[in-house]
Amino acid sequence: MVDTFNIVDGSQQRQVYFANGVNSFHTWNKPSNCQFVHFFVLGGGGGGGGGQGAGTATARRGGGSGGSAGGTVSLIPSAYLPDMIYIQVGSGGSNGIGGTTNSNGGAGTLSYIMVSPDTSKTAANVIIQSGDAAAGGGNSGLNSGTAGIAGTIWSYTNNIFNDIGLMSPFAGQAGVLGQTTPVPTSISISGVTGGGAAGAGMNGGTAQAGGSVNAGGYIPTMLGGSAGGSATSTTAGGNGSGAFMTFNPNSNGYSSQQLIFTGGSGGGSSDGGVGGSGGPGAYGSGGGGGGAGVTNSGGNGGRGGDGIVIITFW
Amino acid sequence: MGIDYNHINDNSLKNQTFYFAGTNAWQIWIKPPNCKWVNFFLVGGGAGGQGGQTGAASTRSGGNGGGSAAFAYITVPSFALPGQLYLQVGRGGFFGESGGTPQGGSGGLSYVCTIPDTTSPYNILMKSGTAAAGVLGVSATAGTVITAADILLADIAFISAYAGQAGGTGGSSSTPATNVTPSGIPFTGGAGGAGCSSVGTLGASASIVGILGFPTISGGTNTAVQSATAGFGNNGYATRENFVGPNFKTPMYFTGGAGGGAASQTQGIGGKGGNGMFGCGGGGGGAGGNTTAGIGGIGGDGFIMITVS
Repeated sequence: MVDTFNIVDGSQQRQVYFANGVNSFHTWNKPSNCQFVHFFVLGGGGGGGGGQGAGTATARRGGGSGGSAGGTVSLIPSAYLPDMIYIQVGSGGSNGIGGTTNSNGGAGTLSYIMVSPDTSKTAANVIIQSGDAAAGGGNSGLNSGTAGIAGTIWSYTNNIFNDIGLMSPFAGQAGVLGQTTPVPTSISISGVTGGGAAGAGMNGGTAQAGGSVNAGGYIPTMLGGSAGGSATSTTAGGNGSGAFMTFNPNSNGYSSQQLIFTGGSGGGSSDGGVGGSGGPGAYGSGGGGGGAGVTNSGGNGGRGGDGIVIITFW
Repeated sequence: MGIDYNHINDNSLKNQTFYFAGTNAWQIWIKPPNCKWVNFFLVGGGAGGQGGQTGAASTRSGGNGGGSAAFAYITVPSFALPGQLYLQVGRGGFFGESGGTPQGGSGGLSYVCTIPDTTSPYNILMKSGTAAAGVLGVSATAGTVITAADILLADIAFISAYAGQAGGTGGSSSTPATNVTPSGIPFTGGAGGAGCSSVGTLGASASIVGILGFPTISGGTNTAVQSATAGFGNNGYATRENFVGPNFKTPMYFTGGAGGGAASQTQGIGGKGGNGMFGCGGGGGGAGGNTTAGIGGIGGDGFIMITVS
């Protein structure tokens, strides 16, 4: 048919699947007459670590931020696929808790496209997976504030279906180390997902702002949380922002911006008050680290963004 | 959808080609509704060929051919793209002057950007290469290939990218210039011009070797006649003058220009190098007499082709 006017025809453009719990599978039925299927399979991002709490004027670390997930894009002739496939979308890592707990951020989990709902993820049942290793969570300030690792690329070990189409795996981006001094390092996105920025620490009595996610292209600057109060002030550090995405993927809409998901920015520190919380990550991206605070009052990290699977067919 | 018995082209913007429109000029592409999949083919401009040297009674060389541009095929699901993109197509390099200095100009890179800006990596969705064909003072350099690190959308794209081909070296003294053989990419460097010895012994100009039934692009003939002009190198070969299709009988293939012939007499004039086709290098000019050698050929402009499904 001659498509003279290029009018949106209202047909389903793609199908989008979101995380819905550990070991829970979605199903996708191959439409009649489709010839090619494209998959975008993204894992969950790592959570940010909690900020350290301790007495005023002491050295305290902000929480490290979570890394972003790896992913895989794939183009497969539909004839090579079964009529029904099973989809498991990875979850974002839990946020590290500040306060009295001071816990690390949790690692994200991988996303899978499988020929059967195999909770063991036996390699032979996997058509596509988002990576080999999931994105790591950032450590708490008490635990050195180590940055969350980047999700690593899928290496096809023991898989048998990876040869049936074009596969292009990609790695994520590492988070940022939480520090005691100076203003924490900000982060610039380097792909479609990004790690989080670190929470602010303190080495003395001067509170700091949290690390930011830098601007670029469609991405606005996402400032870290503001600095809180001094030793004699209980003003809390500001919370980081996060979960920026250029658009929320959906099944029917026309996207007008480039696809980008970013991590969360870090929480600000406070000498005499509660540290700010890190911002959450958008899909596949890392959470920001929590800011340092007074005793038992470090800020929480930001939660890692869930994974996502987008299937386009024609 | 109706049954397409006759394979008649529709006008649904499924295949658009963008050509050089001026230095730093931007063209706009609008993402068609309902498309699922977009393929970009970007090639930069080829480098111009170097002019030949002058100086009867001295050893003089033919000019080097210009290098061809790097190019990239990049395929992206449409949902990951903005609704509007800005395209800048690289220009082919200028010809090199008689005498060999300056050499031919470098080609320009081609860009697909989210806003009309080629300075911020966040605004460059993709580009044809990392370095243009030809660098300052060395026109024969091939364009260099992009890597995934050069493209922000690389995570979600399929990328096949290739370096260009170096231009052929001009003949030195009476040694023939070496022919250029296509090297597995559809854009060749230009061939070198002919040189001449100090006692007037002429070398041969170089050609682009024919492959797969495509013709040889012959270099210019020499002359030993006083005040005569040596033969020009032929312009490159193209299986596409434009990309109005999609029905083509031959694959997409372009060549650089051939080298110009040399002149041995004091008032002889070297032959001009042939111009390169899309993305290809210009041929080198032939050596001349005391005053005028052949100028190099112009490098072919780049182009950007966008195909949607």
